[in-house]
Amino acid sequence: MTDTQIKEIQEKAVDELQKCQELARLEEWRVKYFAKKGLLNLMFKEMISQAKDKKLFGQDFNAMKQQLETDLSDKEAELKQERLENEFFDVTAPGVDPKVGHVHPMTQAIEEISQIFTEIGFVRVRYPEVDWDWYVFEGLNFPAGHPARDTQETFWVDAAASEKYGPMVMTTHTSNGQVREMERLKGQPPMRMINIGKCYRRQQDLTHTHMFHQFEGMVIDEGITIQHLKGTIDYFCQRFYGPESKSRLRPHNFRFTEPSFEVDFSCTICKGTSKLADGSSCRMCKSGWLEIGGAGMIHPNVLKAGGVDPEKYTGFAFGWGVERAYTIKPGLKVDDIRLFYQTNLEFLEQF
Amino acid sequence: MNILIPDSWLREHLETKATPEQIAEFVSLCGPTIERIDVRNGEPVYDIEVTTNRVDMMSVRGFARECAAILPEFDISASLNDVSVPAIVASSEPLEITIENNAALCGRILAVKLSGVQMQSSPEWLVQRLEQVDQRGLNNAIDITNYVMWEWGHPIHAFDYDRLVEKKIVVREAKAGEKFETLDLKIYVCAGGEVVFDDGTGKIIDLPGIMGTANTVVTDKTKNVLLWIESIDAHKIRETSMRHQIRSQAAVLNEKDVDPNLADVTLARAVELFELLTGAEVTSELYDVYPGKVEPTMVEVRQSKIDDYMGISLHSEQIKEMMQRLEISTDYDSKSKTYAFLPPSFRAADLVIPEDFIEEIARLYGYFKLPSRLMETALPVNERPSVDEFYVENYVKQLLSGWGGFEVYTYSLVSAKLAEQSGYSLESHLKLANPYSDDWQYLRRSLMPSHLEFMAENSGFKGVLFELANVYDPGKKGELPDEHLQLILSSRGEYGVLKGILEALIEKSHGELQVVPLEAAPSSLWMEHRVGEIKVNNQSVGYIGQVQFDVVTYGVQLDYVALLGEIRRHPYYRGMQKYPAVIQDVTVKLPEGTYLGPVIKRIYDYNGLIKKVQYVGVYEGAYTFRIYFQADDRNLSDDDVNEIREGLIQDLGDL
Repeated sequence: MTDTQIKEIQEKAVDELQKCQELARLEEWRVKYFAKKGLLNLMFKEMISQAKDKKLFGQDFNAMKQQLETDLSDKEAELKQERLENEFFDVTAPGVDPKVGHVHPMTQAIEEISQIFTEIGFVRVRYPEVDWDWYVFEGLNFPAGHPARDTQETFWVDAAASEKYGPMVMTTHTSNGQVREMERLKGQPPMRMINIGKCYRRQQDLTHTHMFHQFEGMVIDEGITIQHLKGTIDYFCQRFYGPESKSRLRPHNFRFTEPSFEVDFSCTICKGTSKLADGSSCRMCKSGWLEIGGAGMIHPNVLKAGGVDPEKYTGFAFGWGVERAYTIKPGLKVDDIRLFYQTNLEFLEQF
Repeated sequence: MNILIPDSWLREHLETKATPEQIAEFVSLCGPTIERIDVRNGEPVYDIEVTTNRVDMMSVRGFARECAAILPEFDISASLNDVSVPAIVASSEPLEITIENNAALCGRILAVKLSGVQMQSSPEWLVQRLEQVDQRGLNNAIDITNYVMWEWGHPIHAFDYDRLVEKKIVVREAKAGEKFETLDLKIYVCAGGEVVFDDGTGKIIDLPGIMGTANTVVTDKTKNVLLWIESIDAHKIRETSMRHQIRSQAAVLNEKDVDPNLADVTLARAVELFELLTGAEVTSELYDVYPGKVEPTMVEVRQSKIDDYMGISLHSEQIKEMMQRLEISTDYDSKSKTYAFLPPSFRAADLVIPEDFIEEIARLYGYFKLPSRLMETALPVNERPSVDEFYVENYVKQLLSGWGGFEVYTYSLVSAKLAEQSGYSLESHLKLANPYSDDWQYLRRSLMPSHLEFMAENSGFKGVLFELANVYDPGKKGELPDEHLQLILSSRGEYGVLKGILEALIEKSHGELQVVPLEAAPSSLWMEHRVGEIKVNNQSVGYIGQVQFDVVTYGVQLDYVALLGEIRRHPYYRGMQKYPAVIQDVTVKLPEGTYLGPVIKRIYDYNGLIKKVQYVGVYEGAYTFRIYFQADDRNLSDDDVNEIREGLIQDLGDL
C-alpha cells in the first residue's frame, strides 16, 4: 500500500516538475517539496507512523526522494541550457565608459625613469627651478663670461641678486641639484641622486620648448670609476629601452665634468644596425646610434664647491632630457615637442 | 663648433692606410666626433665636431695630429707627416711701420712685408679646396690667408701696405660711439672696450682677430702686403664678436685661445704661398714681439689617481707611449709612482689639472674597452628626504586619471593677463629680465588661469583637468622665491562631478573632508559666495568653488604640501562590525539657501550610533538623508532607532 502511495507522490511531483518552464518556478517546486517543512518531510512523518515495516518504508521513501533530486537537477540543467541557447547575449556590445582619464606622458616618463634608478639605490629629489647663479653656473665651474650665461640661452629673473650667490636665474639644467645635494648630505658620501625637474632655456621651436624636463643622476663615493658610470647607463638603457639596448661613450667637453662624455644608445628602431627590415636606411639614427645627452666624472672644482673632498672621493653625473629619452622609444616619435605643453586634447587623449 | 676637412688635404699631413670610414669610426670613439662624410668634388670631406676646449683641432694639421695619436690604438699605423714649410728668408730692411702694442690686450704680433704682389684669382686647386670647406675664393691674397688658417690653425690677416697711410698701428680699446666699416662694407658703432687698431690719428683701421676694415683691406690694385698675425685677448674677441654679431672663422678660433706659437709656421706657410702664387718677395725684417709668451706648466699625476678614474691600472710604459703620441712629454718616477706631464703649447690652456691628463689617457685607451659594472658601494640610506612625497604624487595622479581626469602640463611663465587673473597683483609677481616672448614673462602664482586659457581654447570640453606644478611666491629681497607645489582641478562640467572627485580623493587618503563656505572670496580668482575652504582632518588645504562667471567653470586648488600632511597610505582599521546596521531614510524640510555640508555633519555629530549618512535627494524643499544606525556591542531595535530619529528630526527642525 505504501508502495502505491509513494508512487503517487512521485508521479505528482514529477508532473509538477515537468511543468516548470522557468528556474524561478523550479525553485518554488524545490521549496514546496524539499524545504524543512515541505511536503516530502510532512508526508514522511505522516506515513512512517502508519507503515508496517518502518525500515523498508524508509528505504523506499528515500529512494524516491533521491530520484526526485536527480530529476530536479536534470530539469535545472535543461532549463539552464535552454536559456543559454535561446536568450541572445551580445558579448561584443560596447561597454559602459568607466570615464577614462589620462596621465600626462611626462608624468609617465618621469615615473618610469624614477622607478629604474630607485631599483639601484638612487634617491629621488627635487630642487628649485628658480635658483642662484652660483648653483646653476659658478659652482659648476662655469667662469664669468662663459657663453652659457649669455642672455641668448638663460632666463634672468628681474630681482635682487644675492651677495653670496649672485643673480637669480631660471635653471637651464637639473645640474643645479649637484652642489645642493652635496650640501644636503654635508659633503658625506654615499650619494646616489636622481633629480628630475623642469628646466628653462630661451628658445622655442619644433624641437625645443622654453620649458622642458631633465633627469640628472649623480653618484659620489670612494672608488667610483668610469666603469660605474658605464654600468649605471647600461642598467638604465636596458630597463628603459629593452635588454638588447647598448650604450656608447664618446669624448666631449663640459665645464662640470672631467673626463666628459657624450652618451649614445643603440637605435631603438633599427636596433643599431642602421638598416630597416626592408633594407632601406634607418632615418631615425646616425649610423645605428641615437644621442641621449652628456655625462662625465664630476670635476674636482664642483666637488669642492659642494664640500666633498676630491682627494678622497670621485663621482660621476649625467643629465638628459626627459622628452628626448621618451620620444626615442619605439612608437613615440613626437615630431613637434611643443605638443607636450600645448592645450591640445587630441594629443593628451593618446596617452 | 664644426670644421670641414677634405680627405686629400688631411693625407698631406697624415700618413696612414686607414680608409675614410675607419678614420671616421675610430677617431670618433677616442677623439672628436666625425659627424658625416660628404662627397665634394669627387672626394670625401669630413664634417668634424670640435669641442670648445680643443681649438687646436680646428685645422687640417690639428686634426691630422689627433688621427695620428688615435689610429694606432686600433692597430692601424699612422703618423704625422713632417711637412716642411721653408723658413722665412727675411730681408735686412726694417719694417717701416711704427707699432705701439698694449701687452694687456695683445700677447703677440708677428708681421712681415711683401712687395711686388700681383693680385689675381687663385689657381684652381686652391679655390677648389676652399670651396670644399665652404669658403669662397675671392683673390689670391685673401684666399691664401684663409687657406693657411685652415691648414695650420692660426688666423692671419693681409693689410694693403700702401693703404696704411700713416705707417702706424696702435693697439687700443675703442671708445663708445666710435665707428668702423668692415671689409664687407657694414658700418658698426663701438660700445666701448673693443680692441681695435688705430692709425695714430684716431682712425680705426682694423678690427683685429675678427675682421679687416674696408680702409686697409687688400683690393685688386694692391701691390704690397703687410702679412700680419696678432694674438688678442680671447675674452675681448668673444665680447666684441658677440656684441656686433660678427662671427667670422677668425673670431670663432680666436675667442678660444689659439696658441700664439702656431703663428710662426702659419706665417711661413703664407709667405711660401705668396711667393708661389702672387710673385711677391719678402722686403722687410720679420717683426716679432711676444710679450705674452707663456711656458706650459708641468703637472704631476699619481698612478693611483689614474687608476681611481679608470678602475684598471695601466702600465707606465703604455701611458708614456700614448702621451707621446699626443706630444705630451712624460716623466715617470717609479718610486713615488707619479707622472710628470708637460703639455705642448697648443694644449697648455686645456691640460691644467691631473683630471685633464686622465681624460687624455682614458680616451686614447678607449672608453669602450672599460668594463661596465654597477656600484658595489653602500646605498645612501642616511638623511633620506621624505620618500612618500613622490609615491603620493604618482598615486594621486593615477587616482585622478582613473576618475576621468586629464593631466595637463602648462607653462610656468605666463603673460601679464594670466598673471593678473590669478588674483595677485602683477607687481607681486616675479618676472624675467629677458623674456623670449610676452606670453611667457611672469612666474605664475596660480595654475588656475592657465587652465582657464586651456578651457577657452577647447570650449567643448566638459571633462576635468588636473595639474600638479610649482607656483612662485616672491621671497624677501635677496632670497629665492617660495616655490611650492599646487594641485588643481578644473572643469566646465557639473560641480557635483568635480566635488565628487575631491571627496573620492580624500576618501582614498583615509582623511575626513569638510568644505566650509566662505563669505568673502580669498582672492579675485574665486566668485563671491561661490567658494569654500577645503579642510582635511580639520587642516586647511585649499579652496573649491566657481572660478569663472560668464562661462561657468569650477576649480579646486590644493596646497600640495598641506595635503601631503593629511594623506595616509593606510586606514585606521576599524575591525569588523558584529551587529548589522539599521538603515532609515529621514526627510526634513530645510529653508532655501541652507548649506548641506554642515547639515550632514550635524547629523553625524548628533548621536554616536549614526555611522553613515548619505544624501539621497531633494524634492520641493524636502531633503532626504539615508542614515545608518549601528552599535558595536548589540543589535539595535527599532525602538532604539526611532528614539534617536525623532530627536534628530527635532534637532534639524531647529535649523
